[in-house]
Formats: sequence, structure tokens, C-alpha cells
Amino acid sequence: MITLHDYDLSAEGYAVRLFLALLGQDYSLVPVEYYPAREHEGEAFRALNPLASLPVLVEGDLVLTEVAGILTYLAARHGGADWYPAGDAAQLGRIGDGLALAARLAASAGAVRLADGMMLPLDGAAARAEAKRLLRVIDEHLWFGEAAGNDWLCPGPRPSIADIACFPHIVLAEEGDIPLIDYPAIRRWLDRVRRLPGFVVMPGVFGA
Amino acid sequence: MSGAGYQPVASSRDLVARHVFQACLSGQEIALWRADDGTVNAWENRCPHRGVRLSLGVNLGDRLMCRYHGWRYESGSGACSHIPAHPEGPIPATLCARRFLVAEAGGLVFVALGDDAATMPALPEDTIPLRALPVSRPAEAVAAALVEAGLAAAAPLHFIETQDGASIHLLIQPATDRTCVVHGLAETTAGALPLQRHMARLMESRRRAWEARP
Repeated sequence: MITLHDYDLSAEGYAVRLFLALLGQDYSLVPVEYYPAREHEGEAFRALNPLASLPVLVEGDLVLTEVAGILTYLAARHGGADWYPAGDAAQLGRIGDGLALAARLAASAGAVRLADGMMLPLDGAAARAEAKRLLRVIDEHLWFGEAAGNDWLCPGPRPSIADIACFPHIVLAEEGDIPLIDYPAIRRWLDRVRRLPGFVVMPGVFGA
Repeated sequence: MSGAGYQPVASSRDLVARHVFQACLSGQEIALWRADDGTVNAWENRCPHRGVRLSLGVNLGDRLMCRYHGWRYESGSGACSHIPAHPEGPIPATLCARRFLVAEAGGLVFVALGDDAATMPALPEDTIPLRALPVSRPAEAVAAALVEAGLAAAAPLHFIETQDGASIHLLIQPATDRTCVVHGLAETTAGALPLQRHMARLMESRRRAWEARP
């Protein structure tokens, strides 16, 4: 049985919840109050994850503490060839790039949203400038993808965990005062993700 | 803004099925959407009910539904045709999304904010659209930079240059007073993608220079 330690306003946690829903995987949820209680910094939670970060996925003896690791594991373990192209080295490399891109988004757009919502210290201007740089690159990538008939971050007929990892930070960016008006190809891609069968929402995210 | 005529706000290809495109022209936010029958609607990006952005709404194919309370507005007329909280109640005929003049030409979508007899820019017949580039500089500053670079001006915000043997039209959309979007059309019969990529790199490089200026 999969157990997910998570906070319902966490964008990273939402990436995992969304992917579990798309896979149709059952799991049990252990809510951790990130704000205002900062439960993830308590001794009990540190015993599970010394990084004191969310989400944490546990299945049997396995404990995973980063979205990239969690999504990769779930795709390989429960996703089949649709979500884990085991024999395709180039595609796995692209997916790895996409997961790292999601981490850059988390550190910029994601950090601004958290800082705004939970009054955390942050150089907001620098984080927004970095988010803008990333969003411009992603929008151009998706625009040329559309021109070549590709709907997703990594070329191919199906979405990958790179799309799932990046989606929460982008769809919630406006909560951190990062407008999406300048990224039309990204806005169309957001619509496509929303229309995936099994899509679920979180506070601040609309369905299709 | 009457008198400004038709100005570009999107590429025709941007208005994909069941999507609501968000644009801003001279500070006016616009929700742009194509109905299933091909009709393009350009409405003030604001629900007449509670002011929520219609670009957050749902393109139902023949109507646009506001995300907040589900009020629905008809393609074409903009008339409100359904209020979920009062399904049987009469809807005043004056309850209507605010519409702007909109037209497609040369692969671009143009909006006129004024209601005077707007004029369209002169464009070639067969073109391919380039990727539009948002720039964090005012339209006038970008136009001045293009004049400085020696491009021919067909109009104050319309420039023509030659790249890789193709005529390129650059049309500048004033977005806000601090930002603009540069739309591009290429007259070419050769493969579109190499030229689109070349122009994307060139325009990106130009943008870095423009935005680095004080």
C-alpha cells in the first residue's frame, strides 16, 4: 500500500496526487500541516525525512522524498510502458531534463507562491525574473512542439511525468503574481493536461 | 483608443478548439475564443456579473461559461443565455459580454478597440505565421529600435525586412504601456519550420538587446 505524507496546498504534493489519480492508484494520505504549524520541521517528521520537506511517499520499505524520485518510481512501478519508456534512452533523458526543469520552477515560481501565501522570506523579484526566463523557454518549446504535432513537453503521443511535475508550478504561478498572459502555448498545454482522463484538482486549480 | 484601427492580438492558430486565449491591447484585457462554427469572439476579459476574467472560463463550443457562477454568454451576440442560480428566470436583454470588433487576415487575428470604421493593415496573401514574441518594453521603444536597425516601416507599428530570402512582416501589438508583442508573418513557399526557427532565434536575440536597455 502506498502512503503519501502531504499538505493539501503543496504544489509538489499535488504533482504526486495528480499522477496517482491518473494512474488510478489507491493510496492512503497522511496530512502534514506545513503552515502555520510547520509540522514538517518537527522531530517526528524529521525521523521520516531528515530534509524536512514534503511530500514523502512510502511503499513497503521504500521511502522517497523528492517529486522527481517519486514520479519516476511510480511511473516505472505502476505506469507501464505508457509512462515509463524503459528501452528509449533519449526519451528517458528528456524526461530527466523535464523533471529537473520542474525543480527549477519549484525554486522560482513555486517559491514565490509559498512566500506570498505563507509570509516566508524570499527575494521575490529575483525569483519572478527566473520564473519568467523559464516560462519563456517552455512556451517557445511548446510552440515549436505544436508546429511539429507534439502536444507534450517530451515529444511523443502521450504525456510524461515531466508534464505532471511541471504542471502544478505553472498552473499556480498566478498565485505568486506571475501572469501567464505572455505564454499562450503554455496556456494551451495547461488545457491539455486538465483534459487528461482521471485529472484531479487542488485549491486554486480548475478542471477542464 | 478609437482611431487606432485593427491591431494584431494573436495568430489564427492560437485560437484552437475549446480554448480561451488571453490578450491585452493598449491596456484592455481581451478574452478571445473561437466557436466550433469558426466564429471568433473578442470580449472584454471580464464577466458582467462579478468581474471574473472570462479567460478563466470554459469554451463550450457555442457559448463561453464563466468559471465563477456558471453564467453563459452566446458566441456572436455575447448575450447571456443561462444563469444557473435562476434557470427559469428571465434574463435581461441588456446582460451581455462587452464585444470588440475582430477580424482575421493573413493568419493573424486583429481587434479594433474603437467602434469607428476601423482599417486593416495591408498584408500579403500567402504567409506563414512566426512565433509572436512578448517584449517587456513599450511598443514605441521596439518600433524605434527597428527603425534604428534599418527596417522599412509600412506603418508606425508595421515593419518589413528580408531574412533568408523571405519577406518578413513584423507587426507590433501595444499590450500595456510598458510591454508589447511582436507578431510576424513570412512570405515564403519554402519549408516553414527552418524559417520560423531562424526568426525565433533572431527575435529572441533582439529582445535580449531591447530589454537590456535602460
